Amino acid sequence: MKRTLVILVVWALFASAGILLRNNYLVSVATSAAFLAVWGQSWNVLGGLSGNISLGHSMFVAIPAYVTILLFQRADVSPLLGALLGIAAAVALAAVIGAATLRLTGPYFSLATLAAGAVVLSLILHYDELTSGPSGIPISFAHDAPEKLEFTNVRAYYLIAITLLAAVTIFLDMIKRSRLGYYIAAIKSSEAAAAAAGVRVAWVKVLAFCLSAALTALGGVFYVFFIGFADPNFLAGLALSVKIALIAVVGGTGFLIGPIIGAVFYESIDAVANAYFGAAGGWDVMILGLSVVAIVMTDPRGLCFMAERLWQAIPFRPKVSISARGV
Amino acid sequence: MNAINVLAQAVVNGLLIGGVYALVAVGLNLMFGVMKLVNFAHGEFLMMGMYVAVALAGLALPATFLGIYWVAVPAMLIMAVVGAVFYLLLLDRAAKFGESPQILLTIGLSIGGQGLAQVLRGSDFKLVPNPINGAALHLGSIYFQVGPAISFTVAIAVTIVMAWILRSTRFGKSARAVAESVETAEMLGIDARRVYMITTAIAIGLVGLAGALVIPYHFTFPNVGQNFVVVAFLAIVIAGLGSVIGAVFGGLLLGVMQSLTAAYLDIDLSTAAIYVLFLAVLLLRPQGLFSRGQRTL
Repeated sequence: MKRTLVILVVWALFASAGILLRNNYLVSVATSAAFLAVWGQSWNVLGGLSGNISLGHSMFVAIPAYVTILLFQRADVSPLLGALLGIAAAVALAAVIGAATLRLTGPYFSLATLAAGAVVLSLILHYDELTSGPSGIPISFAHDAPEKLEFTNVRAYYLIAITLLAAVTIFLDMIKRSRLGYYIAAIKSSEAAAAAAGVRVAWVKVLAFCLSAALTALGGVFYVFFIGFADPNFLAGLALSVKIALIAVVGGTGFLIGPIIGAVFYESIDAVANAYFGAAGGWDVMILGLSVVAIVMTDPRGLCFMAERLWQAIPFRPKVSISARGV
Repeated sequence: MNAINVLAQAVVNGLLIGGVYALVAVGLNLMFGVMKLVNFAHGEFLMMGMYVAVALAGLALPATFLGIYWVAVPAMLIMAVVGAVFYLLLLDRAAKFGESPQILLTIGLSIGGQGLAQVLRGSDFKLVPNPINGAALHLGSIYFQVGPAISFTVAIAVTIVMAWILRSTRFGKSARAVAESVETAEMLGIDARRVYMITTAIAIGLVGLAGALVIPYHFTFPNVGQNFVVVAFLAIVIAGLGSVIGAVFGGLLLGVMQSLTAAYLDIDLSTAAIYVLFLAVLLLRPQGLFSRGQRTL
C-alpha cells in the first residue's frame, strides 16, 4: 500500500510538472521516455521476473497499433473498441508464440522471439494493400477528439503515458507479491525445482508472456496516436525490441524503478546527443551503445544496483532505503 | 527458360549467397560451442572487416582481380587481432556475468559499433570499383556470379580447414574439451582462457575474411552487418548451436530457401520464409538438424 501511495505522489508531481512546463519539445521527449518505460516495465513481467530475454517485443507494439488504426480508418471502428481488439490480438499471438517457444531457454528463446518479430515485420511489409507496406499510415487530425484518442496538445499524451506507467508499475508490484509472482520467481531460480514443487512451469511462463504482451500492447495503441504515424520499420523493427529489452536490463531487473531509470537514461542520452551533434551523424547511437557496454562492464546488474552500491559507500548516510526492490 | 532451369538457377544463386552466411555462421557457432556465448555484435565485426578491406583495397590498384582479393588475408589477420583484443578487454571479464548481461554486452557493442562506424566513416554506401562486380560465368544455361562463387569456394575450404583444426590440432582438442566441460578440461591442465582467446580470434578473423570477400559485390555501410548476421543466427540454430560443420549447412540451406522463395513467391517474403523454417525447426527439433544430442563441435 505504502509503495502504491509513493507511486501516486510521484505521478502527481510529474503530471503537474508536465502541465506547467512550457517547452513542447521537452514534454514530447518525456512522453517518449514514459512510453518506453511502460514497455520496459511490461517486458519485465517475463524478462525481469523469469530471466527469459525476449527480443521480439516490438510485435506487441505494432500489432495493436495497426489493428486499431486500420479498423478505424477502413471500417470506422472507434479506436477505443479497436484498441481492445488490438490488445486481444497481441495476447492471442503471445499465447501461440509462448506455447511454442517457452520450453526454450537462454539464447534459443531470445532468437526465437527475434525471429517471430521479424516474421511480423515482413508480413506487415508484404501485405501492403492492407497495411500500406513500408510507407506506413499517417494519422492526421486537426481537432481534439478524446473518443478517437486524438489530442492536439502533446500534454494529453504525456498524461496518458505517465498514467499508464504508474498503473503498470503498481500492477507489476502486485504481480511480484502475488502467487503468480512467486511462481515466476521460483522458475527463475530453477525450473526443475519449481516443477518439482508443483508449479506448472509451462502454463506460468505462457501466462507471464501473455500479460507482458497485453501491457506492451496497451502502450502501443496510445503511442501510435502520440506519434501520429504508423511506421512499420520502427513499430515492428528489431531496433525497438532491442531498445525495450535494453532499458529494462540497463536499469536493473530486480528493481521496480529499473525500467524507468533505463528509459530516462536512454531518452536523455538520445536527446543530448541529438542536440549537440545532430540526429544524422550516428553520435547518439554510438554513445548509447558504448555506455551500455560501460555499464555492463562496471556492474552487470544495471544502474539501480550501481546507485545502491554508491549509496552504501557513503559513511554517515541516513537510514532510509532508496531501493524499491521487489523480489 | 524452362522450369528446370529456373529451379536450378535459384538453387545455384541460393548456394552462392549461402556461402557468405556460412562463413559468418562458422565463427558465431565456434564461439557459442566453446564459450556458450551468442555474439550479437558479430555482424558489426563483419562490417568492420569490410571497412578494413575497403581501406586496404584503396591502397593498391583495385581495378584488377588481384587488386581486390589480396586484401583478404591481411583483413583476416587484422580482425583476428581485433578478436583477441575483444576477448581480453571485454569477454574475459564478462565470462562470469551470466547469460543476460552477456547478451546485453554484445547488443550494446553492436549498436555502439554501428554508431562508431557512422561517426568515423559516414553513412554513405561504399563500393570499390573492381572487375568482379556483376561478372558472371555461363555454364550451359545457368550462370554463376563470380564474386559470390569465390566466397562460396572459400567458405567450403575454410570449413574443411576448421574441421581439420578441431579434429587434429592441439588447439582443436583443447577447444573440444573445454566445450564439453570447462572444469574437467582445466583439471587436465588446459588453459581455458587461452582457448577462449584463440577461439574469439579465429571467429572474428573468419568474419573479417568474410567481409573482405563480399566487398567486391556488396556495398559497405554502417548497418551492413545486420543483412548477414540475422540469417547467420538462424543458420546456427537450425544447424544446432555449437556445431561448426552444421553451421555451414545451415547457412547454405537458408541461402537456398531465400532464393527459392524469391524465385517462386515474392522477394518480400524471402525473409519471412527463412524465419518460418527456423521456427519450424525450433519446434520440431530444438537441438538442431545436424546436432547429435549433447555433443558439441
